[in-house]
Amino acid sequence: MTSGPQLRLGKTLLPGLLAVALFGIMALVVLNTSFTTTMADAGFPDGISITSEIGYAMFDLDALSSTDGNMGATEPFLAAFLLIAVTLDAALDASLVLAKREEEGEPVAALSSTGPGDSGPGVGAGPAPDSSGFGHSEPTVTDGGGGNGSSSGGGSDGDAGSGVDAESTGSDDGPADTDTDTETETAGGDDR
Amino acid sequence: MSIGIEYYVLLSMGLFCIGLFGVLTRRNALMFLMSVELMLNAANINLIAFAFYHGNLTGQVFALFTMALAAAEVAVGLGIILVLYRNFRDVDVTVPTTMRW
Amino acid sequence: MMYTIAFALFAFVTLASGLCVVLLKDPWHSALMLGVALMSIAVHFVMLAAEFVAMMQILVYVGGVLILITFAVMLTQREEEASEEVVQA
Repeated sequence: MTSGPQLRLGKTLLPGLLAVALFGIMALVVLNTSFTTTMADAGFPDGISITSEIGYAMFDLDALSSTDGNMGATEPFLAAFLLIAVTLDAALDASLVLAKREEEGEPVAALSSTGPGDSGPGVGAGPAPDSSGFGHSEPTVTDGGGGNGSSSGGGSDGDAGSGVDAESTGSDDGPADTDTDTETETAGGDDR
Repeated sequence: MSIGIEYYVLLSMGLFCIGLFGVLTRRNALMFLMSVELMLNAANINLIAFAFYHGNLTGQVFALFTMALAAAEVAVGLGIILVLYRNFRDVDVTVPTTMRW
Repeated sequence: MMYTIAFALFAFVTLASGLCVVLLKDPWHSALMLGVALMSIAVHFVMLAAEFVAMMQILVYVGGVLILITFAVMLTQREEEASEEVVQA
């Protein structure tokens, strides 16, 4: 299974010549530009803490920030900070919505390892709930084709399902969706 | 400190063009995501280099914001890739063609 | 002189690992090379007097984004080898 790193070369790298051409053009532009800032006035003034200045600029604390050199010209960023906080919230919600999968029209929670009607595995350590939880959690814990295939792809194509079973080494016991069986069959065919 | 600003600009342009190269040549959605990370980091190098050479902290604060947005972008992108893999059994970006007209 | 040597060394590391990210065949190797590239970019940030941004770069990118990418690579890896062979053929 483990193999050394292999480069991926060939004719598929041909569109990458566009990127190389873009680099050439931009390098030409930069090397013909004279930057006015000299090395002498580069850098930050001594005696200030850059981290606390970043904090003052980010939270709009003008009264605390220093005014040495160009440091006083730092813009306040409180509105941008709040906008990005809201954006991170939206990204969290979006990733939760994407991680949720639906079985027969009703959504299943993203992090539940057992079914919605099943008793949780942490009820007791006795033998009877342990075995029942094992048996019931087996079809729902498989992520990819298990629940989906048992609901939709049951009677449509049985041969593609067996091909997927033989090809993917037993992690999920359901057939794939009906519109993707050609890809999985070709992949399995080339895998042999 | 005697490194000219143009060398930092050249470095960030090289990294950006490597990321663009990856986007243009690969068909794996995960490789797309990693190439976009490279391009965002090239922009961050540019921002921080100019912040240093102008003695102004705006570039550093903006680079922090860029990193937060990159984290959000990766979270949503990986969710999309996992849904793609669940529906198509593959992460090739040329396989899902159902939204083409 | 010292800064010039350090800049040249880490610029080379950054560009080479970036090229490895886009050229390696296995996405897991690409993810590892992305980690190398992000850390050498953090070194550039330290050289530009942006220590806080460098720390945030390592925490957010290497600690968060790279772990997420690793999760996605491992969740999608089995079919990936087969499809890469299809692409190559």
